[in-house]
Amino acid sequence: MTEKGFKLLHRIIGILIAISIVIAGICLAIGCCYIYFSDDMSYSRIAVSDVFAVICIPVYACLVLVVTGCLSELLLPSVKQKSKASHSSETAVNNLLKKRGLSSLSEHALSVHYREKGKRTLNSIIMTALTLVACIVFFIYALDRDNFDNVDINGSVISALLVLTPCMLLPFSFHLYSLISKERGFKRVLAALKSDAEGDIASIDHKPRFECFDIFVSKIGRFFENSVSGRPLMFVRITIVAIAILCLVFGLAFGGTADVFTKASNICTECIGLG
Amino acid sequence: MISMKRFFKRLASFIPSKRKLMQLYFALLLNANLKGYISGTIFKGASKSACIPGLNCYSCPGAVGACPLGSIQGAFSADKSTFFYVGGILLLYCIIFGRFICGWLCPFGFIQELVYKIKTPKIKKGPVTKVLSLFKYVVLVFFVVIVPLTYAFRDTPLPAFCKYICPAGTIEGGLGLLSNELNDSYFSMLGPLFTWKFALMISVIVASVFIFRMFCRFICPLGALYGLFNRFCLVGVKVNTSRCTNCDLCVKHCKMDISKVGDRECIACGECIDVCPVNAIEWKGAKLLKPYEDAVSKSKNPKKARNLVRATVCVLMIAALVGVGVYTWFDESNNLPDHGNTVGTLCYGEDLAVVTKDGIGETTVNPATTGKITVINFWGTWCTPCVKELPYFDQIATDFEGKVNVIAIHTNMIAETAPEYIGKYYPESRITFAQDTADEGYYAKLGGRGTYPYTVILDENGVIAEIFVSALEYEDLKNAIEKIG
Repeated sequence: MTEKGFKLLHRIIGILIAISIVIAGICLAIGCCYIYFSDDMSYSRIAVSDVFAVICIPVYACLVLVVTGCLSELLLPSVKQKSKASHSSETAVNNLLKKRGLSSLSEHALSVHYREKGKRTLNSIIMTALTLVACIVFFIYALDRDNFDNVDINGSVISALLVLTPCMLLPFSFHLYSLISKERGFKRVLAALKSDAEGDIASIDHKPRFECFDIFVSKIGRFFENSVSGRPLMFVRITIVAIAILCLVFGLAFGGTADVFTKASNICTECIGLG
Repeated sequence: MISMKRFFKRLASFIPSKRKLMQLYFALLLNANLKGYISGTIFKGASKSACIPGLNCYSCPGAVGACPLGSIQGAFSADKSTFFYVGGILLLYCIIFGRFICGWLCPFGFIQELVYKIKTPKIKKGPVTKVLSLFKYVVLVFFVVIVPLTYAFRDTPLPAFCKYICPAGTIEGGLGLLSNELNDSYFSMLGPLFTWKFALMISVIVASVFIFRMFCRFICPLGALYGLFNRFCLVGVKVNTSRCTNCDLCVKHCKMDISKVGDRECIACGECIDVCPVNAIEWKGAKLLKPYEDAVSKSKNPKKARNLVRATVCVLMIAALVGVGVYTWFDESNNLPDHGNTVGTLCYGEDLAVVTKDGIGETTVNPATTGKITVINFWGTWCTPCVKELPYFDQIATDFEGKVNVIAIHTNMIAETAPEYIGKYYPESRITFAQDTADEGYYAKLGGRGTYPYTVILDENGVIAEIFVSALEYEDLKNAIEKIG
């Protein structure tokens, strides 16, 4: 069998294992739901044994496939994966800038660099603002004591989650957009830097679409260019260690271990999802 | 087919790495209570007062320490000193180890890495996983801080993460206890919560086959907390910037969502050290080991000296593991009575100290000799379902006054919280509040196996008519009482 054949065989076994694992997982979850939602059945060792005995076929199939996969891995020649190690656009840009220095860049490449840097900064500012707004909205909800009912705790938590979801989705979506736009931005800068190095300025889009916006974001980019983050690491470490030891000593001195011990040595059934 | 030589060579490649062995070691060390697996109960020794570094449910029959996440959630509704104690330990873990704990010590991380070993097509990291990696901070803030804290202000302890999310709790605590035949009665309390948590646990395990450390990357609040301190922690990996060529091989090789080595997502597994072509990545504090390295290299036979040191460390570690196992096996608190009361038997009688809003009084009550139908409820102010069901017992005591006696027995361990709670919520209640004897002796005599709440109903003659191991509603209690008399 050729290397291609072995590669295909390994892939087929892998896909089969993946499918069987997913089916086994779904069956286990369905089995559990079946016992719960079934009118004439409730949780008991016998019920669980019966239901899981029926749905164990995909689980066994999955186990057989996993063993087959292990044996194939042991007995068949392995296929070496070709590593596709290459620089990300960000690293390539940083390396180029480090190598050449900002001063040697043309006005155009420099403007693209600052424009993208500005965009990134603006994105992070918007991201921070969105996160802050989301936090404020959620905290206003959370601070209202009436929203957390003592009788229907599960209902209250679900309601809070419903409020939390849009608060969370908005900054998360924007973050995803900013990550993608960051990668694209670095690609644009890389193209500009490469063209600059080759002297091929004509191939680059000279005209920014929103000039005022670009000037504004460029200015932000220039502003943050020179900000240096030099945090006194040792000071932070010593401070945190000192605070931690103080807290620990205070807690130990005033019997803080008793509650931890009580919680840890008794089973609150609801707390582990049983009750 | 391959030759035998190649076969054995490949077999040798299956020998676990140092990190895997370390993970296995800590998983065993943190769950060394063998007796618990046999008896289906949890360890109650003194080591349970100490928080362990990784995610390991303290309701697991084998667990010898307290879960830091469960403890911090519980600390919100406990005394201030508890919060300082747990916070101090967590801060120490954060500043010393950071996410090194995730990579080397966490038992649940180990489970996920094992299932990821199954050779299937994998989902690789990208912008989406990077965004999802922020979700664990939402979980940390919402489930570990906001919800437990909000309910703590209402005197209702609610470890929301443990209750609604934690798959480690479902596997180790839930399934660990259910798997023992002696705990068959626990099946009666399974309901929607268990169904949800079981489905979630299965989803996490299945997802972990395809996504590297799915739970650690996207959900684990403990990892989120440790990650915040990764930059400052004393143990971990760091990049020597003077040597680094920015080749990005380390970031590309890493399966976590890191932007650079040592950032908040880095679990300090150390795999990037071997990948780096210019040896720019090193362990933090490696200089501290330099005298040892020098001494070894100066010895006559460096290889032999190094092996000797390794062997000594291995022996010490194994001795520690065996020591913990022996300690838990012979610890007195781990000895349960062979059998407690069961349904149909005459209830043990014992004089228990009565608790009022003013404290533990001189008077006593014997639940077995009241001459009426008696509802004995074992509860604790730290227990969410206990606190939640107590109003139903109060209602029963009012509705069946003269016919039924309701005795609520608080756990002995932190009984000092009970009078304050009673004074605040049940100052005029018809429930007789009492306190259990030392080491929860009366609870054990009545068949309690460590789970709370626990309710026993006696008939007029003091014979046990019903035992409930789960939280009850008013209707359940009413039906049980009407059935008896």
